[in-house]
Amino acid sequence: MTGVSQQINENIAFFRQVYGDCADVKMQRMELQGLMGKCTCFVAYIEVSLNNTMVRDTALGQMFKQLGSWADQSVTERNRMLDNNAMGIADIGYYAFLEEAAEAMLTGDAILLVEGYEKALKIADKGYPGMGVEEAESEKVVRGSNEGFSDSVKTNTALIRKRLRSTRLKNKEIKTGTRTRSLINIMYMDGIVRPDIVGKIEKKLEDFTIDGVLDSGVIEQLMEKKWYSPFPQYQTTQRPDRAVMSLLEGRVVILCDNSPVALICPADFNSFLRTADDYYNRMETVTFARMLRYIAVFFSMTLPGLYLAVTNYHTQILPTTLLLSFQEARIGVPFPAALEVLLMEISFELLREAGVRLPGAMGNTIGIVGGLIIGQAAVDANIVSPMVVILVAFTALCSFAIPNEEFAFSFRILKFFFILMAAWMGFYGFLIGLIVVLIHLTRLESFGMAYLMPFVGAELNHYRDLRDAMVRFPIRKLKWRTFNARRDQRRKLRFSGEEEEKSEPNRRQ
Amino acid sequence: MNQIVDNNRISYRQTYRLFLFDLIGVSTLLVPSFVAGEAGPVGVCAILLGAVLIFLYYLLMKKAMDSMGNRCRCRWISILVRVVYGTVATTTAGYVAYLFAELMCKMLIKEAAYWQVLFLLLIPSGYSVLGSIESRARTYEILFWPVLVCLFAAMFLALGDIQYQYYEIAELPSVGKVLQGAYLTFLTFGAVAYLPFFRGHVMHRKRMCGCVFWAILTGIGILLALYLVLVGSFGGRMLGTMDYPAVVLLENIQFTGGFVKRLDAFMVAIWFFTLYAMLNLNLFWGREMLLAGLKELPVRLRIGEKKLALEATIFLLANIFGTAMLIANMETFKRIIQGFFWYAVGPLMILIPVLCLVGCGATELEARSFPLLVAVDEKPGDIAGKTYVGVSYVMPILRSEPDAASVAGEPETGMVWKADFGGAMMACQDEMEKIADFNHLKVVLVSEAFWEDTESMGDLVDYLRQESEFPRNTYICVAKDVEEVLELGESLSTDMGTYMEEMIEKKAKEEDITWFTVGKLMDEQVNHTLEFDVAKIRVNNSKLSVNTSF
Repeated sequence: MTGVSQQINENIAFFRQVYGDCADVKMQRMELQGLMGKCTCFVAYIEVSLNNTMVRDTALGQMFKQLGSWADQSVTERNRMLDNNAMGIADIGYYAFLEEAAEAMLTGDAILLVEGYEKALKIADKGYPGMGVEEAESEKVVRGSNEGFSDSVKTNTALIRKRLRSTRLKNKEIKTGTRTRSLINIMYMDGIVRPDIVGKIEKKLEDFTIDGVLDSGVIEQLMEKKWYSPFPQYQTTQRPDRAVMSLLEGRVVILCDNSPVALICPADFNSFLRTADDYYNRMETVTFARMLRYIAVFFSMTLPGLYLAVTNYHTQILPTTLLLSFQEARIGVPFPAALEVLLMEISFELLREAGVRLPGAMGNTIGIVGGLIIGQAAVDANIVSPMVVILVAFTALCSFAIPNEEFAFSFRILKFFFILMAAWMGFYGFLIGLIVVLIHLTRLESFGMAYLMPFVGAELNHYRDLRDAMVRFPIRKLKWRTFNARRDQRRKLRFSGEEEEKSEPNRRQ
Repeated sequence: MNQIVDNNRISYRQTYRLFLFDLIGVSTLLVPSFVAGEAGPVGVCAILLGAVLIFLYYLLMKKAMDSMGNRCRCRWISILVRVVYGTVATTTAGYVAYLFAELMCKMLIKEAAYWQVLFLLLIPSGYSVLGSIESRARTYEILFWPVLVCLFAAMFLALGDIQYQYYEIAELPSVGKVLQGAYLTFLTFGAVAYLPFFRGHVMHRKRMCGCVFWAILTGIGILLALYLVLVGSFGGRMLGTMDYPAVVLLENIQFTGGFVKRLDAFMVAIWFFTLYAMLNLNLFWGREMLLAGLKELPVRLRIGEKKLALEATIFLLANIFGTAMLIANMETFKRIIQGFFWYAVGPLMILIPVLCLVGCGATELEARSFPLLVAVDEKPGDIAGKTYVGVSYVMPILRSEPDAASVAGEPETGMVWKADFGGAMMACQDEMEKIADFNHLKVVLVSEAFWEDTESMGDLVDYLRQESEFPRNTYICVAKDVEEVLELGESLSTDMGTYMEEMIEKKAKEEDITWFTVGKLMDEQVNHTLEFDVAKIRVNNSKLSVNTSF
């Protein structure tokens, strides 16, 4: 490591060597003139990260002005004032080594070197361009805040801090990615979170060395224990209020720079089916919505398979009139039912993918084109039967009703598995598929917690977690945090007049 | 305590549900037609008699729990248990797989090849078993209500078709026929035979036994109710001729409204999951017996535990597949297997625990170790606020002991760390070659951290109360650092347990102190009336001292 030299020319030479052939890195030597003396300094910055037009109003600009006035001072006096931050700049960093200073410049701040001073100064300025705070695209709510996370991890931590104004909210910062040096922030509520989880997350982040981390999805996949599972083991959110809710439950939120998606852990099956506005609306509304989601989860995975099982193997289940109606609809369709369903499902997935990739209005149009025109045309041409179109549409609606996109995708993938099993072995194949999926879910875990909690192990938290599962009890009954929180911090709501509880009895397995 | 996955522990709720699923699958499928054929409407008596046999057997297994399972110290009996259980488990799994596949081929998917249905069934079985007992228990914890609700709904809807004339008793069957029906009921509840082996997977023995008791009671209740519904629906004589009447019943029921004509295909899912549970149970324990046997081989296997478990599972699955295929295709083999269950398995189920009780009772002196001091410590774990409890036994050394490395007071076992006191005690005993006999235990030395952990101490007292292993007059001592105290054992002239006991009694006499003993601790945990002093052990200049405080 090269120490910052008092000879500014050496420092300048270092920077020019490191950032040679970097047209976006601006380096400027300045000789600030005082009444009697001069002060030589050097500034390096990323081109768009510095507010060139308003430099005089920024901290950097004020620094230049002050250095000019200090030019008449002795070097020793000037250094003392720099050491003591006599300028009163809140966000200033000092680096003793040039390598560190050169790397620090990449955060979007300016580096200032002064003749005779053995440290480099990092002064915050405009920073890198970003998108700012916009509405969360994927988690729309009817009621509640519309703010969503942005690309900047600093903004995202501030959005959380804005909602959770507690000194116990901790924010650990780690750099990961040997070349990208991406910032990862681990946020948690000290005193509520289980003490081992944060350490485990840090250890998981240290377990790998990767070139670059461009999104939270990369670290999510690298940290997952059962990486081959179609089910996500970390919950994702673009909403600060959702993140805060999770923090208050004793979970940990992981933010990644340049990613608007936060990771939440530990995660369980039920948490993927909860939305932020589940706690802003009335019990009846939310309970109905939750049950719809659970039904949607089941049908989004199983409905096409069930259809195939019933129509191909177990026709005795259907009423005669309906059966004959199905039969009539299939007259002239050249494909077997299984192939028909597969074709339509794949078409739907193609439409969905195209809708995501196409920009703006075209993306909306493809839904109408695909759904109405292509679907209708396919039926008219007798390629598929109308029943299959309705089936695929209903299955798609079910998958859209699942709040978490990643979670919904798991069921969309498994749907094909069920289609194949049902096509092969009817309801028996369907049941085999169901038991395989169930066994897989029972084997999943997230930081020592069973994935299927609170449906398994509910007694560990005195069945309180079931109050916020398929049914959501009234808010005044949700007095307890989930099992994720430390045992002595489970109580979150108390009305006046209620007594403090004694310590909880042992509930070991 | 946290739901820590992969710790091989299940809760009481899971135990109950797991057992219930294991019990009602085969029994509800086979017992009604057999009993009706043998005993008609009086078959209820056969089932009730069978229930009595099952409860008696449950009591026998409860009694034999210490002698069987992982704590059996009689080597030959232990081997016999493993061989018999392993063979019976594998054969039962094969027969259940045959039943399962046949039922599916008959009721659900007539066009499929039998071997395909069987093969497809074994894949999730193997997958589940590889995931340890927790995976199985959680599966049935989730399926419990859906399956039972379907079953009760089916029985409820079938009530509308009941013909009460079918309940009239035309002729009384012979006692022999009733006994045969009872015997079959008893055999189909054979999952109770695995009760001793569950002990290592559940926290408290008494509560585990309670869960199994209720599971048996519920299973009998379901079987009785189903039998009565079947007799009322089909009549006794017809019922006796049917293969799987419970499933055929589903063809009769109809939902009001008429939109859905018949749900028999869906309702077969009830027996899908219950038979699957039985298959899984036997596959799981068959594998456990095989792995336990392989561990005791004199030849060291150069293979990791996980890979060994995988290969054992595949081996057993192949066995089960072969057995089921032979049963399905060879009538002679089928009769042999049925004969094996009827004439061999039943008697073995009773003989084995009796043998363990009788055979394991007397242990020679030279086969026992007499711990004089038990040390208990705790340390923080790496998961979720959990602590590990460590237990170590300190034994006296006999002059004729060949192990020259042992010196007076040196523990024969090191500190063995487990999730709780009970687990640590069991693991500590597993480490020893001889059986631990606590009749001469002098002192239980706990660390200060453990003493102040009310949860851990509560566990310890509960364990002592249930197991009654430690004499009531054993002194309880507390030390800041248990390891530091144990290290001094080398320098003592006598064994540490005796030394500490004499030291404590001398202090009690001199200063008229009443020390906490195991008995007093257990009593005061309930009474909360009296206060006693706990002996605090200090190490001063490599010497031990005792006082009421540090």
